[in-house]
Order: sequence, then C-alpha cells, then structure tokens
Amino acid sequence: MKKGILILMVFALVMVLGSITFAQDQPLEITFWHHEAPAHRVAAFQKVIDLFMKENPNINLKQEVVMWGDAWVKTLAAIEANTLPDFQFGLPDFVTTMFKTGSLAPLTDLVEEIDEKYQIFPNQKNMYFYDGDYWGVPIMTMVMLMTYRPSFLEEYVGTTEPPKTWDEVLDYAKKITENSEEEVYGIGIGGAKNLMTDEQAYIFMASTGARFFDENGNITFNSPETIEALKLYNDLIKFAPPGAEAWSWGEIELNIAAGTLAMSPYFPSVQKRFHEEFDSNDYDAAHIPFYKDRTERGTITYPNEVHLYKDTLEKPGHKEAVYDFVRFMMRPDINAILTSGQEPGGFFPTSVAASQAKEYWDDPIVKRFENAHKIAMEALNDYATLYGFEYGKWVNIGIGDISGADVLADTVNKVVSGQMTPEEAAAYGAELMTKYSAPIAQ
Amino acid sequence: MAEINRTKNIITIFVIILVLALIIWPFVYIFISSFKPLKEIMSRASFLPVDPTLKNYQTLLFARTPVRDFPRFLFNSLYVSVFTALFTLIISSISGYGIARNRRLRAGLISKFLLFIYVFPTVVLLVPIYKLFTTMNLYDNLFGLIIIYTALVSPFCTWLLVSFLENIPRELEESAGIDGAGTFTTFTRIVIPLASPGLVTAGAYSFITAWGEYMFALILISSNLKKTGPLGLATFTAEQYIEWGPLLSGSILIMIPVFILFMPVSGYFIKGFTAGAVKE
Repeated sequence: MKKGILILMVFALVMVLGSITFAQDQPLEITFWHHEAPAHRVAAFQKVIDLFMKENPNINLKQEVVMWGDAWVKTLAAIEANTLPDFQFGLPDFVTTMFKTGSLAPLTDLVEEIDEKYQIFPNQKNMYFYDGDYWGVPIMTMVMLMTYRPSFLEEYVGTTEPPKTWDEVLDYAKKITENSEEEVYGIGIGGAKNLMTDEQAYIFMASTGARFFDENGNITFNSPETIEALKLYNDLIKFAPPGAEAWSWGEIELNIAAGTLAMSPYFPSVQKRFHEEFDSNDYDAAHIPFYKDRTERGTITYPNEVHLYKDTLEKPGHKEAVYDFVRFMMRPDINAILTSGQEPGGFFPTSVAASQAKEYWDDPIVKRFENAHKIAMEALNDYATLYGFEYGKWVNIGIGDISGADVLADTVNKVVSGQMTPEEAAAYGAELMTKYSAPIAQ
Repeated sequence: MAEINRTKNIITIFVIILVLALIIWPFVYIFISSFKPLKEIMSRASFLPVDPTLKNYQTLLFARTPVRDFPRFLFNSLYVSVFTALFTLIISSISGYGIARNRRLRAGLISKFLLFIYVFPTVVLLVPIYKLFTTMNLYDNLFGLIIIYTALVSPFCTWLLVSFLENIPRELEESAGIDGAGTFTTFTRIVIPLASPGLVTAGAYSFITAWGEYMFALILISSNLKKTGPLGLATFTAEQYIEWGPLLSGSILIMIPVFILFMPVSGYFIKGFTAGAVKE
C-alpha cells in the first residue's frame, strides 16, 4: 500500500516537474494583425518574422491579415470580446478611434529609444503623440506624389519637365486631353465617396493651405482655402477619364498602366508593375506642385504604426517580446525588407537611418525609379502630413470618425457631381464634421 | 392579329436577350480576362487574350502564403455550406411538417414570425452574436458559422417547406398508419420522399446562402486558414494593390459550385418559391 502511494507521489512529481519544464520550453505565442494581404506583402512580413524568430527562438510570432476595410469593425468587436491580438498595425485615424475605447497602452519609452537611435521623421512620430505620450511606433510610411508618364508629357505638351504649379497641371491636363483627342486623359483623380478621394482631395487642401481644424481642434473646414481647393479639384476632374467620379482603388493603377492617364497625384507604387510587367521606365514621380504664390507644398502621408493593447501588458513576457520585435523592425537593414523589399514606392522608411540604408537603395526597382524615391524622401522629411494631424499632436479626437465617414470625399463628390457649388459644399462638409468633432481641451 | 403577336414576340425576345446580355456580360468578361496575363489585364489591349495563360489559376491554387491558401478557403466554405444545408433540412423539415399539420400553428404567430425573421436585418445581431460566441468558445470556429447560418436560414426554409408539405395528402399518412407505420416511419418514408422537391429547394437555398456569406464569417473567423471563400477572395483586393489575375480566376472558381448545384435544381427552385403562391 505504502509502496503504491510512493509510486503515485513520484509519478505526480514527475508530471508536475515535466509540465513546468514543458511550459518553460514552449515558445511565447505572439499574434499580430496587419492589413497588407497581397502575397508579396505577406512574404515580406514573413521574412522579417522568420529572421526575428531565428534570433529569438523563444518567441513564436504569427501574422494575421485583416483587410483595411474590415479593420475598424473587427477590432472594435475584438475589444468588446477580449479577443485582441497582442499588437496591431494601424494608421493615425485608426489609432485615435482605438484610443477612445481605452484599450491602448502608451509606447513613449520605445518611441524615444528608437528615435534616439535612428531619428524618426518628426511628422511621422508626432501623429501618434497625445497628452505627453506616444500611442504608436511608425514602422513604415506611405506618401502621395505627382506621378506621371514622361512620354505623354513629351508627346502632348512638348516637355519632359513635370508641372511645378497647379496652374501648370491644369494647363498640361487640358493639352494632353485635347491633343491626344481623348485617347490619353490629363489627370487621374476620383470623385466618389471613398478613401481614395479623401486622400487625393487632401493633397489639394494641403496645397491651398486648408485644414480640417485649427490648433485648438475647432473645425475650420469651411474656409476660403477649402473652397479654392474644391474649385481646383472640380476644374481638373474635367480632364479625367469619363466615370472618374465613381472611381475607387485600382482604377488609377489600371489607367496609368493602360496608357489612358498621363498624370495623377497618387502613391508611386505603380512602379512595381512597370518594372515587373512592362519592363518600362516610362513612369516617374515629382513633388506636389505649388498652389499659385504659396511657398509651401502639401501632400498626404500615412505612417503605418504598431500599437499595443493593454491586455498584452497582462500576459507575462508579451510586452517585452513585442518591444523586441518593434526594435527589430526598425533596424535599418530589416526595415528595408518592409519598405523597398515589400513594395518599392508603396512603403517608405520612417527614420533617417532607414532612409539612408544601403539595403533600401540596392533594391532593383528603387534603382530603376531612383528619382521618385529621392522625391518621396524629401516630401516625407519636408511637407507631407495628414488631415487632422498637421500640428504635431492630436487636436481633435473625432478625426477617426470624420475620416471613417469620408466627409471630405463626400464634400468633393457634391461638387464634382454638380449638386453643390464649392462654397455650399464647404459649408456642408463643415456641418457634417461638427457631428463627429471632439476637440481636445488645450 | 397574327402580325401583331409576331411583333410582340420579337420585341419580347429582343428585350430578354438584351437583359440576359447585360446580366451575363460581366461574367463573360471576368471569365475571359481570367485567362489573360497581368500585362494584358492592365493594358486592356484587347477583349480576347492575345497570350492566353493558366497562370492566374495556378497562382490561385498553388501559390500559398502563411495567410492565404485558396483551396483550403474553398474547402472551408464547402464544409460550412454542406453542414448548414444538412442541419437546416433536418430542422426545417421537422418544424415545417409540424406547422403544416397544425392549423393553429399555421395560421398563428409562429408562421408569421418565420417570415419576420427572414426579413429581419441580421446585421444588428452581429455584436451580440460575436460576444455570445466568444463566451461559448465558438469564436474562430467553423462550427460556429454552421450554427449561425443554420439559425439564419432555417426560418425561411421552414416557411418554404410548409407550402410543400401542405400539398401532401393526409390520406397517404393515414394509409401508412393503417399499415402499421409509426409517426417517425411515416415522416421519413412517406412525407420526406414526397417533399423532395421542397427539400432540394431549401437545401440549395441554404447552401448558396452559406457559401456566399461574408459579414458573419468576417467577424467570427480570425485565423488565416479558417477563412471561407468570400473572405479569401477579398484578400486579393487590397487598397492600392489589387491582384487582378488571382482575383478574376478566384471569382470564377467561387461561382462554379453555385452553378453546379443550382443549374440541375433551378426548376425545383422556381417551383419551390411559387408552390405556396396558388392555393387549391
């Protein structure tokens, strides 16, 4: 009897010790969501994950893709049900929305550490700054430039020089459309109520100096500058292909590649298609033109960041693992995998160190379209910003809802469809924004 | 008079052809474009492929990434749809039979409630169901999808089957009873075979609904490889970079099971929807 009990006790002890050892040997499971579904983007993420796990065999990283269009609803639902990943990639307006739910953890120490080491572009990190803390680490970024087909400019305008002012853009667009007898249209801009129109229209606003808010977060949308921007947009869309008023993602890429568009304020990522599918150099990007006598340019940038959830802090070791992975992603040689290695022209570095990395500039597509990349770096360093985030801090926390409701695109749509004058539309947009506005007390 | 009728017929046929062409055109365009290399899709040089290729289908079926496995997505859809159809038929045939054979139930609230559930905007159930499923460990579980789809389509399928079951003469059941058959035997051996057109209709309806559903799958499924076909297809339409080739070929592949299933039973389907329209 005693022998039996002893055997049982030894067996139990072995099991307990075994399970402890087994648990200690188990790698830490870290899951993150990002929103880049194309195969080459997933491959780039996986390459970084594999390299990280090789250096950190005790961590098992898993990527999950949630499409951008689904990210808001899926994340909010996950917050409700406590099924969040450890961390997620996002954008400034996405982060403000999640911030409002109280589910985010500050990342100030990490941002400051990385900034000191690699010098994050100020406009990229400041979009995540609020109340003395950073709520996201910008890993890679996007920027819109004036993309164009040099051969069309040469053939129909008689120059290879891209336009330097918006008046020149209008002139070029008119000449190209008329001289080609509408085989090639001068400009590619959309007019539907969607994110693409939001982003393109913001370039016009930034060029004229219009803003959604003032420094105190009050709505300043209904301004002479916004009206000027809407007028310019409406004048230019007359030289866009028929149906552009209803365009969404993909249309500009297709039309630029098909040779039916000469210019477009757009992400310069179509260069990948020109390199891989057409083996052509007939694609370039220039700075966004100046508006009349203004000396400041304006364009849109989207810093893709990583944010951390409070739930993650409660899981032992998870915060440290996420921090290690973020540090790893920001290493210039690794960051190049997520920028030029992922999609040249689609993603750019967010730090000075990464923007100078040899690994970035050695990419064959970057080499081919080097000028576009230099322009992009200048724009990122100099004037690129994002609606609602122009002041180096959050000023109105309703920006996520304003962006989600595509208020700017809605306003543009009212003008290009002839339903409203630019003046009426600016007033209409400002009224819509009031519904979502939540200025931050200064 | 004959001349007028002939003209009317010609106009009718012309309108039908025109409407059919408008409906079918996008499918034809997608089908043909799915055999074009990306360069031809993007340059839109000609309607027919100049250099036809199966590369888009190969990429779709054989190029796997850690987050994308399209054959697996189709299998997940098949699994969910088959079991949804199966469970729906079991529930709907039993409940439909009960309602069809009970005058009070048929005329009462329950019958009306079935239709109400059918027209109810299910999107408002999204968050409560999400929370419920997470507590029940059914989140990120394909069986959870089967449960919710069955719950969504069963009321309508019940209503659909009632009209079929009502038309089965009671005398047949009474005869079976006289011959010694119990209620269960009568139901499975007499009623179900006679209601087969209705069952095929309800089965096809529930299969097709589950096959194409997006919103609940999006919310309730998290793991990459548990995604259903529609969720998988959506991953080809990323902003700023649409993977046109696999998107077109995926659109064709995802339609095939619906065609295979629907075409042979389309007659039953129409009959099913009109069965209750005319009372004897």
